[in-house]
Amino acid sequence: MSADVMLTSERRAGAMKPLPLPASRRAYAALLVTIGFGLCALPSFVSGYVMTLAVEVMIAGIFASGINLLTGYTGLVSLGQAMFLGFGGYGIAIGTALLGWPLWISAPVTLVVVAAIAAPIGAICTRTRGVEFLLITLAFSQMFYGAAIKLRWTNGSDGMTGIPRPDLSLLGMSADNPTVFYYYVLVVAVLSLLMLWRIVTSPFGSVLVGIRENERRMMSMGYAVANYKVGSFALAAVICAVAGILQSQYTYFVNPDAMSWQMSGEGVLMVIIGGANVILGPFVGAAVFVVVKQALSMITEEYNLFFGIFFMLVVAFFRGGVLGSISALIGKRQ
Amino acid sequence: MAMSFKGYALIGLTGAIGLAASASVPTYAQEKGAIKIGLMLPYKGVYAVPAESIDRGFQIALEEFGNKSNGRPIEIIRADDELTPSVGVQRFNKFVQSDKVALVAGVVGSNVGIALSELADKNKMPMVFVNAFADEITGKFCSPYIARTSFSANGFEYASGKYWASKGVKTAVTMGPDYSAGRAFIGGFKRGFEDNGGKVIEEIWTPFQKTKDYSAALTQAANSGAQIIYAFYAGAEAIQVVKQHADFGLRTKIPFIGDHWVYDEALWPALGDLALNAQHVATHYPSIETEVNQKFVKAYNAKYKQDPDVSAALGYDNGKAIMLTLEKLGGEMPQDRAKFISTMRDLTFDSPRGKIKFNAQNSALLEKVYVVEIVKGPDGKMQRKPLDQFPGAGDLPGCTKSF
Repeated sequence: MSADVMLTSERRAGAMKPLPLPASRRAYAALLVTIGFGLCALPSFVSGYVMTLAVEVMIAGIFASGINLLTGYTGLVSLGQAMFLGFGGYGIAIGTALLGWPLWISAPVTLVVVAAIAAPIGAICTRTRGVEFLLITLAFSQMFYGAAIKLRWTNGSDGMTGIPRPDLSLLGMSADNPTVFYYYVLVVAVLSLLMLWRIVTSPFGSVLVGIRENERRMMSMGYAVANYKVGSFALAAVICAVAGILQSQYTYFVNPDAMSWQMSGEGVLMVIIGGANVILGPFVGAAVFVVVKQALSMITEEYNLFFGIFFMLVVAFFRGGVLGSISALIGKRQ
Repeated sequence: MAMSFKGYALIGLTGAIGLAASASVPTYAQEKGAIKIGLMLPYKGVYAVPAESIDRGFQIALEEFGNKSNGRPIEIIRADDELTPSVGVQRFNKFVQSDKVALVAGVVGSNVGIALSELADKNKMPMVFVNAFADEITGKFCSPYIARTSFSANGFEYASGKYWASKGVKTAVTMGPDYSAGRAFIGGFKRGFEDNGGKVIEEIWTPFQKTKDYSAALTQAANSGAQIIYAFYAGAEAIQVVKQHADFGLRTKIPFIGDHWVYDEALWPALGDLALNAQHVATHYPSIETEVNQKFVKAYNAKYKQDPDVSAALGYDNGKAIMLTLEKLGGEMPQDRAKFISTMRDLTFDSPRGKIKFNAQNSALLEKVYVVEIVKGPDGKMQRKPLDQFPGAGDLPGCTKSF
């Protein structure tokens, strides 16, 4: 009983403020700066493959950040976010290959269309909560996954190739170069993070956290809770679509696998590993996810088995994810 | 806090742009030691059996050259694409950037092949496909950095459709897994069959890698009223579909005609007597009486104590084409890597299956296709009896690039 009470109050203390404790803010800022400089300087130190992994981490991090807005901040656990990852990739593929639009038109149009599709889907899904929400988002994403496999004009399950990377010839660079592409992804990742930062520190973000903590109280305070939830759903979808665009540019390719429920599940795993409702949590989670998976796959063919064990260990010993545990540690020492 | 975060982000951005501007183009180090070949195959999953055979055949080819090209040792680096495009892309990037291979060989699934075609082209990395039969790979997605040492789906199946139509078969129902290769093979058969007077009554597609139950599809096929079922399946899926066809008592009602993947030697232990008396088309079988084939079969038997199946022969052709090309280039990967593929295109060599030549789209052609029946040999073991043979067909057009 007492443990129960402690858990809830602890969670609330961490949740209501984006950053847990004032004293740990400096440590957090220092961490950010170190990471920032480290990421900028990375290509000067490491081989091409580490940079490729870093690109994968950042793309997965953006995707997981989208999920985090919905899951960590608003408290809605979705298993269907991969559909928006797929929409991002298919959006620019359809725009550039089928409609012949340049990338700088296709990409923003894709994001607008994703928001327009996500809003009604969100309006339907957010009428439910808990397991039902999880299942209805899963159902929607499986529906689009099935459609993508069958649709002949997007090549069915073969997917579409030839997705263009941004044309940087004005700057005298080619995005086909791994270093240049790395910086392109880094810039987009930083911009996405900034946007998320603005969202969660705004009054809108506080309402989302309020909904997570006590939806009924927010309603009685006069907030149109339903609209906020749809807004959160659509914003999360757009962030996931940004990741989808980057992912398809990274591989020059998109196929229905991008929309599979496994992708959605992996995104949720990253959020849990890194720490939900911490803004950098999904990026840390993505880094751990990609690097551990990569390392295990070099050691053994059956890496998925060991990865499962690893994930169980994280859940068992890192309550609140990697970042959550670190800030809890810092908190204890003071 | 918000201010300082923005401040740091700004510093970060400025730094990023500065460094990006100064970042130099990576230079390809001239590797002096071993020639590294990345071999990408689906070692796990439904195509694990053919993948293992391809790997073995590949090794036999390399051993023929003493695992060396002009004195330089050959090093094979293996990766499992898990028959999934996104995994294949990751492994390919690892080959290029971490392992620094000279070229990439292998790849069974056309789905993976299509995903890699663009990547190989953009990275200027020679990609020598062993299977990846889908016509688009050397058609719509053709590239000066891509070659295929086997054959295209159309080259094999158009000829097969034509053959069965000429043998008095008037109607057929097709079955295949619903993905690029399945569509390509069955599509090729249909064109060949219908161009020559046959009629495909119904096309039945089963989900690829996602089903073990073919009862609905087989019932539908049996009720279609066609003379034969013509099918393309491989590996574990082939075992299941052939077994279920027999379980439903359809062997006497409507014959299940396939190719050498449906009735692959590697599957015979699992199929048992079900493989017996099956007639099928093949691009290679162990008892072809040519000197090159007998030498290959002997070497394979010496090393692995069994006869090579068609996948082993395809793996051998893949390895041999690469080794012959390297030999011609003096054991060096040329600075312009497209030259590796164009050198391969000019090759002509005798392979276990017959003479191998490439067309202008870098795709190898089939000299002949064999019709065989699986029978019990004098030693009580199953073997193939040649019934007939016919020439392979050409590739579908579709490549708009010129190289």
